[in-house]
Amino acid sequence: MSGHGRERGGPPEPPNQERSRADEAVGGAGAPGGGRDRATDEVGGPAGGAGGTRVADSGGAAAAFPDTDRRGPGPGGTPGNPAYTRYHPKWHRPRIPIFWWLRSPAYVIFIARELTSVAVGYAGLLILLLTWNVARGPEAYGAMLGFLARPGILAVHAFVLLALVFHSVTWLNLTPQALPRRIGGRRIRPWSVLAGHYLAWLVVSAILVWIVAVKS
Amino acid sequence: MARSREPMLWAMFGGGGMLAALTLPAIFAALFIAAPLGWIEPLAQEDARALASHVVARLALFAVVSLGFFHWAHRFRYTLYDGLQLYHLNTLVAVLTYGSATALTALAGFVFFVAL
Repeated sequence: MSGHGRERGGPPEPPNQERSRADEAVGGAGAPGGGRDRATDEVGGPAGGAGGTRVADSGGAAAAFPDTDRRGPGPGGTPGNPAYTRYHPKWHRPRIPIFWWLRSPAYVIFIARELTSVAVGYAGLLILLLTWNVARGPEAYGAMLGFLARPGILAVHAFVLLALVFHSVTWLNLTPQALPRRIGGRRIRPWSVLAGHYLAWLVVSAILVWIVAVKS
Repeated sequence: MARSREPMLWAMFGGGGMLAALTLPAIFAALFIAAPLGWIEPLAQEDARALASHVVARLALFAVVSLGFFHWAHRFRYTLYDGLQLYHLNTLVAVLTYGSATALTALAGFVFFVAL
């Protein structure tokens, strides 16, 4: 039909309230049923080149709302494309500033926690780079060690380590909420889940540091 | 179809998050803080190579690194979505983040199983 829909990809279903309210405004023909379609046909919008046979034009309505879509009558007086409605509901979408998360310390902590994922990805990249240089030979490995010992790089890496620890703490603190409260009918206490995970962190860390330190 | 991928992506995010939480601080502190500062002796190249090319080490490093990339992808995607409200760029952001994680995982596979 007339291709000037005001809804861009929105749901095509017009809410009935809007339509009947529009009808009441026009001619008081807001009774549900046959009268509604007739009423909307009557205000069928600026005809222009629509080529439809308009039943009637109730005058000021179309001129008062020039950007209403053309709801021309179909063959036999049936309404046109039901996807089009004269009034689009205004969705309530409050504008939120981009830095909304600076409003409260809790939000800042939330965003900081989410951004620890960058540190996780960076650590993965650095491990890849180091392994790659180990594979390339003593010369490349020596250059990599020199790069890692630069003061600026060390300062950045100290910050990355802080972020990684923050990731570990926030992640492990959530484990009681992520695990089932009962296993096989036995209640699992949150603190024991927490303690178990922190213990695992400690043991794994000790083993890893021991491996690197003893091998060297 | 996009909806049906979500559980898999979340599982990789969760697995990567857990592995990273348990292992990365220790690995990072030992290799990139303590060794350059001289708190511990840096590994000699042949020792590092022998250590990393053990099959368990290859698999473990690959798992930590690649799942870490997917952890980053998933979390960073939603940080952009919520924090910067890039709702209209949702598809682009998803393609870029998960695409990078996939490419980097392929690179990790090469480094740990071919180059090393």
